[in-house]
Amino acid sequence: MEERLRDTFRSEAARPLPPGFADRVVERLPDRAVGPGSRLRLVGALAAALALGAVLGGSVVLRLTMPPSPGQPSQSPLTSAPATATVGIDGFYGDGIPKVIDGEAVLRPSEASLRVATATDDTPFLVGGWYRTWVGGCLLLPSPPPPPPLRCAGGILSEGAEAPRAAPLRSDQLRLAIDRVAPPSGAVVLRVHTRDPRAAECVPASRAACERQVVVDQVVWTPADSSIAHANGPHDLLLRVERNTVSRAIIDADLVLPAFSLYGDGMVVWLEEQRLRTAHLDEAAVQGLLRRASEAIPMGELRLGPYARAEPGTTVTTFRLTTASGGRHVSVYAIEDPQQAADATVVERLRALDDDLRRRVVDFSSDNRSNARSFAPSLYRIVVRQQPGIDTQRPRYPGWPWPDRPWDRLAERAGDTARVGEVTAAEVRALGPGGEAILSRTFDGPGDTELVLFARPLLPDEVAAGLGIRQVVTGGAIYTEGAYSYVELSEASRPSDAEPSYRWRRQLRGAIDFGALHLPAGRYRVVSYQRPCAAACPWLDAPRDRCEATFELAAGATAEAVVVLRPTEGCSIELSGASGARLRVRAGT
Amino acid sequence: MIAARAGDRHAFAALVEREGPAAVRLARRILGSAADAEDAAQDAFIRAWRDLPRLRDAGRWPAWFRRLVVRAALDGARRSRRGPQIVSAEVGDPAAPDSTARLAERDRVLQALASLPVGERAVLVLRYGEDLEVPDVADALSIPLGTAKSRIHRALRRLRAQLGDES
Repeated sequence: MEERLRDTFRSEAARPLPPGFADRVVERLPDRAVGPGSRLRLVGALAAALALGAVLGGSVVLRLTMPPSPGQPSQSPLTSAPATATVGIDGFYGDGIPKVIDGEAVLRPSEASLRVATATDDTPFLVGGWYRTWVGGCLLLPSPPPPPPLRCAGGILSEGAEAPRAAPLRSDQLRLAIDRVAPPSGAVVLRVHTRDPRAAECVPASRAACERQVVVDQVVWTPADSSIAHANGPHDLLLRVERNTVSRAIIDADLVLPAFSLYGDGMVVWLEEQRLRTAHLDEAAVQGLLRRASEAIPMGELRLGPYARAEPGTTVTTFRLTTASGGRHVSVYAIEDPQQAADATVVERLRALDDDLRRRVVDFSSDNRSNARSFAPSLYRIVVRQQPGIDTQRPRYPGWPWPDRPWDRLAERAGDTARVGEVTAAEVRALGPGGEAILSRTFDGPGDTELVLFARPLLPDEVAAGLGIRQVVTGGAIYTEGAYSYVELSEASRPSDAEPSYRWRRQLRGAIDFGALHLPAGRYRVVSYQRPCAAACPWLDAPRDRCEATFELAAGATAEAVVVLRPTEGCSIELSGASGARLRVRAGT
Repeated sequence: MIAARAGDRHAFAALVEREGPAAVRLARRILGSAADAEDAAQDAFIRAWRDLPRLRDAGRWPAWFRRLVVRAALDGARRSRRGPQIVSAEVGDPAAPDSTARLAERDRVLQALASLPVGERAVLVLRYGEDLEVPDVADALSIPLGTAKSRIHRALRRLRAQLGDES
């Protein structure tokens, strides 16, 4: 019991302080006499704040507010920027535009329009949105026309990334006069002014319009100033939202499709009405999604719902976020159960995030003129379960469709009787139209059984690497009564005494090709052992001649593990195409 | 620490940043609620700020401050009628997908812990979560050594019963 308790506590990961915790404590401190050297200690506080900021997220600036101590002059809030950022940013709007830069509020275009209407002088201010070049709205009559910068609008700033509509102008759009500074297209924060002094040169009939022109003075921020670092490979998963039910999570884990996945190269795959859709986003859009996700779920938050008490069929929402070159990883588990009031807040945020991410993808893809399309997987994971034949109206196909890969030679899955393998998209298409992302078919099985097949598309991160496994026999003795060869494959992080992720079993007859699988990049362990027949098969002796290898499968790698068996003397595993292999041979065990 | 004791708020803020995660974690383990734990940790820091001038030996800070956190958590539990509502835990090495069985096992233990009286939960958290020796558990709770021993024994027995584990 003591060890179970220790394990439970030990399994908790370090979690940073909630944002603003130190602020709230310091604000509540009662007055005390100020000691010497307090100014110097500011450096320590700032260093701690920077360290926390680094933990919380690369682009988000920690704001540490210190109330003035007695006898000290009032101080402004301290704002510190991460080392990589050129500006201090405090929070982002939903479309990824900063809310505050170096303590100065950033107005949205609609707010800026109101400010322009009431401005009495040319005091500059910040406005942020999505910029597009657009020339129009020119003030040409009566002549002479206004001075050049005030004559025509040169660009439009919008809220959100959708393509701007110049006429009629929406309330969330702002026309900009371009003088010497030409902003880049996309997300941007600009310092602008109105009531330009040159409006005095305009003829009286157009002077009011000249005074209302918004002139760009400076580009203050672009996403490049504070971008979130991330891996950029086509298999690198940056962001994923998954929603499962308890029963599916346990029994059909191989069949669950993530609701939303974003990859390092800008590819997005999401589930829409049981079909997978995809779009390609540019880097600004990727940054917008990462920022939105970072704000929705503070880095480091994780909740573990009471799985054990959840009723079968209860929906569990899981959320996973990976950013900064895979360096940070967040998982949130919450149960969508009205009785779990505290979880409801998390679930609500996850739902809002999921909805928002999808909406943004549609907006972004429309803006990039590359409309979303159906996702075309190259491979499918198949799960086959043998069960007693049931007389239903469900169509049943005459026989297993891939005779070169008998269903009972597929891998066994941990803790389940189902078999798991993979087939190509062409092989799935040959089964006929499916209608939904996950295709199901029922085939006649041996005897009075039927084989229920599910084929589930594999996503880019799930096919990052390939691994083939085979066995050869060299020398040694023979197992007099025959034997069965076993190979197990697991993620290296999985406890060695846990059920393997995949297990193959074949009767030992010379060389054996166990098959091949595509897998996510990562570290894996292959274990090989033999079970000689006890007097007569299928009664088997305890495992012997065991060996194992741990190795790294990089994205894009195609590796092969060859078990070299010397019956009764042991085995070894030779790896090609993998890195960091660590072999352990236990001969004759 | 010395500057904070002398009344330097900035130095104390740095102390909060440094000690805060462990304080919130300890309070959360006792209270089972992240929000209540933050409140308790804040209360502990306020008390620490107030009483820090009386802490002559900076080396005694860890045990001294731990007592404040435990006291604040126990006070918070008494104030709260609802008791622990959610049991939450951060799973270590989140990059590695954990098996559902292990998650369920952790959850069972946490749920059983949550069902114990707060005093018994606190001794188990201090003994097995913070890895304190029994005399240090007694010190953190400001109770006699014998009381701490018997409370740990009783809490373990009750936890076993909750988990249906007679081993």
